[in-house]
Amino acid sequence: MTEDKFLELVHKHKTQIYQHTLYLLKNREDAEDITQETFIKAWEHRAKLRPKTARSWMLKCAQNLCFNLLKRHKFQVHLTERGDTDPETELETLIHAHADRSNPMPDEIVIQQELKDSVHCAIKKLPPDMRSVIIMRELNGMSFKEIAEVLEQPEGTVKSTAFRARKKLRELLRPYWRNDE
Amino acid sequence: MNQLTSPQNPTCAEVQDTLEAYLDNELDADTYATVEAHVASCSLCQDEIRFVQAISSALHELPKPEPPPEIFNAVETYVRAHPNRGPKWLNRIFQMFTFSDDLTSILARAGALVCVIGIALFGTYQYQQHLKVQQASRDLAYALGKLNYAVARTGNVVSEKLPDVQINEVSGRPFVQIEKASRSALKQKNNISSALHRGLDSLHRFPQNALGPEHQRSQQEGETP
Repeated sequence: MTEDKFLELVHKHKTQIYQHTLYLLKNREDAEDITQETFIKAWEHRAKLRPKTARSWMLKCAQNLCFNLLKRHKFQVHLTERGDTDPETELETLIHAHADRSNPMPDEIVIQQELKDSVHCAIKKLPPDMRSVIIMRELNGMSFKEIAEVLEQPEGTVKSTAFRARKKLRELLRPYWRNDE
Repeated sequence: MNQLTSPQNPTCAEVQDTLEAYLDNELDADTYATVEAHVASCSLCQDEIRFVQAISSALHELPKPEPPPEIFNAVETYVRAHPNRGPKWLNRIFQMFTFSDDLTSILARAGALVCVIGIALFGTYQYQQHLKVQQASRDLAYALGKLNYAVARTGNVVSEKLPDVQINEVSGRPFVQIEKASRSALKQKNNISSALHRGLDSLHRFPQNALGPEHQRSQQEGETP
């Protein structure tokens, strides 16, 4: 693969790889490092890389690097997860930057907005394997088949993980949902 | 996916356990129908469905931050600093057979590869035939040389051993000389025979197409009675 073709692939997939690592690691600096490392590894393994499977390969590589980092810094990650409501957390800062609270809103919209704000906190509480599937499915809009290729798991297993993850999110987000009963 | 434990009359908890699969249309037909019927008549489960849909919508609306440009710049710098090694033409050939996007180009490249392999095999075969002809020519020349030598030697033996033999001599000496000469002649006869065999053998080893048309014609005429 020539340098130019490879850089085209990097340009095409860099956003998805970065978002995947950012949501998995919950830290901007680590996500940037891992994204960069993923592309460098991809260049070193360019003989195996095909344009059609490049995204899967890079996502798989990024995911493995993220999991290795999470294992290495398990103690620090636990500390970060305990402080879910910490406004300094990178993702939370991003969410608050996107929320527009300046206008008064009807109850339904307020509830929806609260739910949106809380979703990222709930995602952070998911185990890494569930988080990974949710990010690929919901954020990147990948099909179960594509996710199965990245995770090297049967499609049924991926579906089951996705449904369990969303059920878990339901449990975590229930306090933010109205209760008419 | 999820199966209900009591398909006839499922509880709200059972139905709510299947809502993600229900909304993704991943339930089998029977379970889907049961869940649909239950949801239609249960306000609690209808609210739960709205909750699940709200979560899905919130997930879809999560912020999608762009990576800082420094990442791409750093990767580009690394890639430019570590270019492909090896000759360019080799890389191009390698890419030709690995970097294919559509079936037509794969087939075209496979065809080209088959042609290249075919030409290489044909060339190798021709070269081997050429080597065989060369070897057989050398063997034939050696056999002819040996034959000439054996014939000349036979003549020498006869002229050297027998000129001064006096048949009327009383002693047994002439007979001993004749015996010696005949033994030598016999040995030379064997040499001639061996040289002839060797020559014929090397002639047989000549590939058919290496022999001239005249030789082939004479061979065919020799075979017909």
